[in-house]
Amino acid sequence: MEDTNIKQSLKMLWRYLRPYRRKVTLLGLLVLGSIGLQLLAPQTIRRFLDAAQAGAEGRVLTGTAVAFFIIVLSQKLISLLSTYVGEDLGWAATNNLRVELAAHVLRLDMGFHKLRTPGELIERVDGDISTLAESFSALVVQMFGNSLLLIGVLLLIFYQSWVYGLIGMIYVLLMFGVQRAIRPQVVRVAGAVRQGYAELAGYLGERLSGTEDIRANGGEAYVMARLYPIMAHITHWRLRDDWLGGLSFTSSYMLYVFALAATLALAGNAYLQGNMSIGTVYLMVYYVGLLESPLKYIRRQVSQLQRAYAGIGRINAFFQIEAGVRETAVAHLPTAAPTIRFENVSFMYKDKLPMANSQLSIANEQSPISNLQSQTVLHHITFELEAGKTLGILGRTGSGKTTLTRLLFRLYDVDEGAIRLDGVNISDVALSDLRQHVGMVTQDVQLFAATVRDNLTLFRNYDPQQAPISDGQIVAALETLGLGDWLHALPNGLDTMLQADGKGLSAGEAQLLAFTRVFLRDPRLIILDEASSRLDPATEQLLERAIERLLRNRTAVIIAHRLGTVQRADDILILQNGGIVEHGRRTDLAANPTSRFSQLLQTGMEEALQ
Amino acid sequence: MIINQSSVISYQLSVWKGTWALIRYRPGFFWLSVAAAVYAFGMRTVPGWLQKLFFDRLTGEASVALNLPTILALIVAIEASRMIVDVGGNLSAAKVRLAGQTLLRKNVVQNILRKPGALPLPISIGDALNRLDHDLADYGDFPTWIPEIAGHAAFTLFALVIMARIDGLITAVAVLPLIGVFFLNRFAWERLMRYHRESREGDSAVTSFLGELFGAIQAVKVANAESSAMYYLEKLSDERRRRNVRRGTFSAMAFSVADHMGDVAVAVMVLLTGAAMARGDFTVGDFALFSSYLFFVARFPANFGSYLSEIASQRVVLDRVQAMHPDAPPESIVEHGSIYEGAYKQGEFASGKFASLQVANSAERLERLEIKGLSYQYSVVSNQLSDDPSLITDNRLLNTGIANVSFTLPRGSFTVITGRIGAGKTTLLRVLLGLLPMDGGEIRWNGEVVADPAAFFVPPRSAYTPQIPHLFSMPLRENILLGLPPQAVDVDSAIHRAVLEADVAQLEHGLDTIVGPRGVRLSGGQVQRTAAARMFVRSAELLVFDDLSSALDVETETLLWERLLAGKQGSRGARRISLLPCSPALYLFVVSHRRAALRRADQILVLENGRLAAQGTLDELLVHSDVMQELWHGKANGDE
Repeated sequence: MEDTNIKQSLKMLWRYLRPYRRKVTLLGLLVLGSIGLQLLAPQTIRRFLDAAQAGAEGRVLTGTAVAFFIIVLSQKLISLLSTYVGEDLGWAATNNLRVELAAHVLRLDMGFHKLRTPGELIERVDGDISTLAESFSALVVQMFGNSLLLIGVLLLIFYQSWVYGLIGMIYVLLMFGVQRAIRPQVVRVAGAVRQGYAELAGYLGERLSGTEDIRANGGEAYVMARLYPIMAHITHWRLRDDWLGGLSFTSSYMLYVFALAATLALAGNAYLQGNMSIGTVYLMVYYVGLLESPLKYIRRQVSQLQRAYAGIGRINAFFQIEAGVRETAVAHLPTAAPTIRFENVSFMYKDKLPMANSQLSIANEQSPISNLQSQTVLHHITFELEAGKTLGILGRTGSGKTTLTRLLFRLYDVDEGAIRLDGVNISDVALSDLRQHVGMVTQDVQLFAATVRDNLTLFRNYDPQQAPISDGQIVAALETLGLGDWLHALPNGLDTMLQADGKGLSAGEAQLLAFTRVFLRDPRLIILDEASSRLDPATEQLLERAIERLLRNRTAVIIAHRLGTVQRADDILILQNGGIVEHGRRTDLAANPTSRFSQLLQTGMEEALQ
Repeated sequence: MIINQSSVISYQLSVWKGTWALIRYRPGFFWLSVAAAVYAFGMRTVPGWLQKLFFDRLTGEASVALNLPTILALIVAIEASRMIVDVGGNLSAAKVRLAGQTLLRKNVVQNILRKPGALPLPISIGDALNRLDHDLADYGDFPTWIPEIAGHAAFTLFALVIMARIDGLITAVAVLPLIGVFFLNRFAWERLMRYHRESREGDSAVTSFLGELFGAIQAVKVANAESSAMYYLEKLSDERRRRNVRRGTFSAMAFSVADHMGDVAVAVMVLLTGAAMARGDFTVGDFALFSSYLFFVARFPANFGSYLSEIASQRVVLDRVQAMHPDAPPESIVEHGSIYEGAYKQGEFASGKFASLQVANSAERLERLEIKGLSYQYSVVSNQLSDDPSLITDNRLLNTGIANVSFTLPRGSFTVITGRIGAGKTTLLRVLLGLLPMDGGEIRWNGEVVADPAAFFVPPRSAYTPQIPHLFSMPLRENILLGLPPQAVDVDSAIHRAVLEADVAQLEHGLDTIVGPRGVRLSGGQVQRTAAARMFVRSAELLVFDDLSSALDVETETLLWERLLAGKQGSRGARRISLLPCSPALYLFVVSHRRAALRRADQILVLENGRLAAQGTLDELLVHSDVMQELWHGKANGDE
């Protein structure tokens, strides 16, 4: 299992290195050069010692010393170069991996995201990969280079005499044996450590964004009380990690000491019998010492790798989670405002939720503990909305209004039936194609710590495959929505940075920005989900005209909790417990005193007269 | 970032003071690790000396009392003792490190929770998590550099003495270049520090963006912005790569210069010894000793130099940590206190011992709450860690403060604050509750001035439901209780009052359902009502809602108002309250433009541009206040 893990890791590594083949080759050459020089340096010292012992002239000795100096200097220079190339390669390759993993995670279903906090995902997507990036240059340069150095030294010792070679071999093999023996432990402990950090990030991420709630409701002590066990878990496992690290270091150093003692005994004996020069005795000692340093690096890198295993395993596990919504692009949507048809649509959430919150054990990605059926389901929904018309959806919380719009976006796929836009089944359309045609404003406006421009275009101008949105278009859209003054007051115009989570903006302003986003994307089908609920009536009126303009020549679905919001609808659909209880023209329903809609209007009126 | 300028603390925690505090947190383990390191490193000179004896014995150039097997046995024995001590020392250092890191994390999180809750973190959540993880880990690790440096210094000292006794001149000349390394290292400091900071900023930019992205997953999907966002991520990642490579290469360069110097020292030694060896003054054993010592001695200036550089890095780290909570006293991050590490093993956490809180005795009965001249202005401070001028955002343009707001709330009254977008409604609530630090004015509770509103306005005096409530990914019950012992409070009636009972009944696991990150498993209305239940269960004297009904449908909202005001008997003028079984709350204070609320209010405060524009009952205001008329008649058909 470990070997497949190594293979997997190497395969993954190579996939991301391939685009940089030339740099990889260069790196290889640099490493080889550095090794050659490292092997050469002690040979010069042997010559020096033997010459000194033989009473050679100062000029010869000086020449040897200078040669030694030059060899050492060039070796350092080359190793510096290889550090640069290695770092650069490591970051470039892992950056690509990170972007791919982030893109993959973004594509995953909402069901997946409901289970994971953003903090945990950051730790998984960035933390695990950064461990790889940081260790990469070390990993490749040191691991590969030192393995070669090790082999080179062994060969040179064997060349001198097979007895010393045998000592060296036994030393190296024993050391790897010890490492192998403790490896499963190391992997297990490292996994527990990383799990602890992921849990910590998830926990703190949520709490830090809810400080207002915690503070004003006296929850600080509770937040702290739940933090201690997570931190104690990390301490507990990291101590074990350190213990294993110490064990591994100590055992291999002692092996070196035994190898050194054996070499000294044998070489000393050989010298006394006149079979070996004193320079060669020194060389043997030097080479055994030289074995220790690559082994030290390899050992360190192996444990780094073992730590990275946990990460690589977790990265792979993420890649293996598949999106439930499948891409099958066999049809295209027309560009005009579409007719919407729901044909006998049924849907039930299949999101899985764990029962217990503690995930301190290494959680299995694929099998959460229990299967929670969500409360919201839709049964046999059939209706049609003509092109260019507006549908108002009413219903209590949990009646399925939001679910219905999520299906339109294919955030989830229907279980039964079909949703058609102009006769095209949306499950036959590429997601990107579909979502280009549909725009939505919800009451939760998500803003990024980025410029106003990037927030409004949602980074589209960075995508070389899409037509950029010009500043003129953005300014025009902002002015249309009455944000012209707001924009002019910004210190750096469209380059002004907004704060994460939209802090510094009022809820109303944020909402208006969300409208601007949709304006700029210019979709043919618009969904408004309680869009105006946070606006005061005066501001809402400002928005009315803009909405009217937005809805012109477009098909629209408006979810509203208040009757006032659906006054503009052509059709009304009332949902209850996932089924349609009423559907028809708004004017017809309002005129019919027995309709549920007119009863609702009535309730509203009574309310107004109270 | 928005910081209240007056309260920013200008002094810093010095790197040493903080380190000393961390040392004193686990002094036993710390000094144990120092002693172990001094032994393990210092004794490293002995095997080198024994090797010299070995060579001298071989060549017969010096008289050696020990025979060869004894020398070899001694080498093995001494190395073994060093290793055993080393393992113990490392584990002690690990204890110091882990305890320090945990203490730092505890204190910083506590500081963040103690800051006025509605002040945004000056940095994004992703960035904060990065700092809580890596920066605190770095600083917590810093004290454990000391044993290593002390041990290395001990070895260097012993080695120099031994070498000088063999040949003073060669020792002096060989060691000379090493002093250069030290100065080179000092020279590289500032650059290292800058590169370090820049690469950390690059890291932060990526993690922040990822955090925002994953927090906005549905919006990103729906807006079809997945691939565009990836291009932006690529741009941020590339900048990060550039910075990290620069830092990595530069620090490798600094280190390798140090290593060159070590090799220079050996080369100088080789040059110098030639003649001496030819004369027979310098034995092969001496040569072995010198070259074995010199490589390790030569690393000392570099090691010490990078330790000094590390001090500079720690300055950056501490500044980054301080930037997370600029108002907290800097030394508070190393304040000693229990981290409950032993409890993990004993299973005390599982028993819930630490998770339960005391239910505070009921607060002093609130008769009258007076607010006088309350003011708050969002101020602007440049981002201290960045030179980028575009980060300086004038928040006065984005958010409205409040100025000189005064009013009085008598017991039992139901007050509504209303006004246009950006009029300062939410700001007023937050300043009153101490969630934003007031710039001026005073708050009196039964005539007594409230000195520290942030500490004062907590349950059982007050409870609060923010406009956008945050729930946490834990069971619904825990979200409501937030640590209150379930047996001491009435969860069921809080849920009933919040009109949440039907929703709870529908959930398969009922109150044990985990609501998902930020409550995404629940609808917007359910989240608001859960937050309301969380407020009701705290039985507070003063209940503060910010726009409670904004995500509710008509029927649910009607029910909510009915249950909320069920205790208010008689007409508006009577202001008599009957105590509810679930909550003795006597004060309701709501921001809303909803007619249902305005109609029920005893008094309405109309805000306009952060000032109190009008005050009175609905009927009075509809006659006298233009703003109120506009808000009331804003929409042709009304919304209810």
